[in-house]
Amino acid sequence: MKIVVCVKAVPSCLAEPGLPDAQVLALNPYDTFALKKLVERIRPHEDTITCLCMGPPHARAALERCLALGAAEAILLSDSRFSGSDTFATAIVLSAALQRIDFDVVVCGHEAVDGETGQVPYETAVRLGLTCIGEVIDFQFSGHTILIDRQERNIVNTIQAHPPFMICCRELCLQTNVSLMARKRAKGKEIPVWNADHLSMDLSLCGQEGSRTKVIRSTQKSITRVKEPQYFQESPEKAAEFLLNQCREHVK
Amino acid sequence: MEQKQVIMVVCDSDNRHQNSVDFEMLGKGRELAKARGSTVVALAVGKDPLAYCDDLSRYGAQRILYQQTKDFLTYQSLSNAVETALKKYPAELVLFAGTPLCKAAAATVSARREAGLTADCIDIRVSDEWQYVFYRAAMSSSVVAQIVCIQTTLRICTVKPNVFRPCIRLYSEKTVPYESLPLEDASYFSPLTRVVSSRPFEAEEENGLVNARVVFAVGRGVEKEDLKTVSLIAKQSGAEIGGTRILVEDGLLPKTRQIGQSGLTVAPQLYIALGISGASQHIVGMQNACKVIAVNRDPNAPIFQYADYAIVEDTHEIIENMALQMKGRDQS
Repeated sequence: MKIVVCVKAVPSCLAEPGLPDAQVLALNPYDTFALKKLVERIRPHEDTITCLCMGPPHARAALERCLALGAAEAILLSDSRFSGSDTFATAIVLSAALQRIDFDVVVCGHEAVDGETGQVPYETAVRLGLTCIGEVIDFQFSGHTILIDRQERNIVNTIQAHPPFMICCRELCLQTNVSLMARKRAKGKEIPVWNADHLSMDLSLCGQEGSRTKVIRSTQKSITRVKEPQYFQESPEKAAEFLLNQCREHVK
Repeated sequence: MEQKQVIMVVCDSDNRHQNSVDFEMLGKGRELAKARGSTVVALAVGKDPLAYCDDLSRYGAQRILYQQTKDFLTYQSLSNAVETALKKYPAELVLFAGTPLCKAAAATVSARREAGLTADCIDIRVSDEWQYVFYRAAMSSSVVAQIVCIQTTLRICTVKPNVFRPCIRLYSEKTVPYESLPLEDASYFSPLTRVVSSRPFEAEEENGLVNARVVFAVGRGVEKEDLKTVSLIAKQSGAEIGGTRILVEDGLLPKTRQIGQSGLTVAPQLYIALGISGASQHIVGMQNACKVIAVNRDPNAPIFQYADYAIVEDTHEIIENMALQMKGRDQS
């Protein structure tokens, strides 16, 4: 089966807490989970994984990670005319690219840790006319179908799905051990870059022009009323006692 | 065609006992309708939507549409219902709950109807320019983005439970007639899937975090070894434990206990923040708590701006002291 994984490059400080650098991009942890799960599950010589990422040129780092993790190929969708795309326009660009790739299944992560919307997979599914199976926790390849475990409230349903379709995994993972060799090999691999011209995109459909939402202002803090707290000045023992008493009072 | 503009609130009737988000959305809808001179229409969809209509009426829906589905809702059947409803009432604003199913339906309707979509709003206001402005916490902490929809007349947003003010029941009786919405052919989607088996989901326990009266919330400032202690204190005192995204990502807390934009929103009577710095993505998940006590070693931690009481102390020391006193209490 031919599988395409849509991934996002996110600021590394969000992908790996502790790294303060927002300029460097890393693979979105939800996508890491989806890709790792796939690599575990694919059947050698039968299934191939291609990773697709829309982002600035330095999003290449995330795709190198994908190759090191076990993807066979990677494609970067990069064009300054894509920038400023909201989820609506992003789905249009992604689906334009996916229409140029021969695939059976498209796999996505639950959401990106920077945008935190989780909308793009479903919007892309509409553009491709596919069903998107969300909340997926595991899957197995079985002939030319996939058996998918998806959580619906307190039940895990196993669904047998015939391609083409999309799935959206719901977990995320941070720690990935990738050998130095694999990383080196990934660095040397060619990653084709597709721009709007390659996709014959109507430019009015991407970037800010193709978007349906626009950020008009960003304000620092004060989402809610800022409070002037009362400072508790006494010893840690007293503070602990205060906490427990407050707790007891409010539990009732 | 309706004279008045319509604000539509989409209600998943299969999920009606889980939370009060639908009523909260109705409350916000009424507030916006007042400012814009619009009508609030509730759309109830599910296996038994009629039973829900009375409640929606009491909580202030000015018109009620319902659609009965044969099976439990899927995101496809819900988005089909919304599209059918939009033909009848071309709305300017549609609100969906922030559940996985409703979010998927919102994205689907957005793509099909070319509508602007904002996820997990923390507020919606009408600007001086007569525009709907959607507020949401944005990437890299402590920034709130104000978003407007462009090149579209249809605006959609999703809202988590406990984000908007709890809505009061306005009427004790049913006040408006209910209109049935016909089921239309759902031919949009490939039907090549079938359920082969089902089993209960075991990995995570059911927890009462969303409706808890007291929440102990833990952040990166809490040492790994102290997490168990906090868990125990919470359990013994009838409180629930929750935490920030970092702890979930590190595998120290289950996802079902994550508080914040990509997790749950809580509104307890008392919120005890232990070792939490206070990134906006976390704040949006707890800003409606009645009383907040924050413990953090760093006096400049942003969490103190949202706290009623500030305890500038080493979190470990406070936790240890609480554990000791709990033990003392048990023995006495």
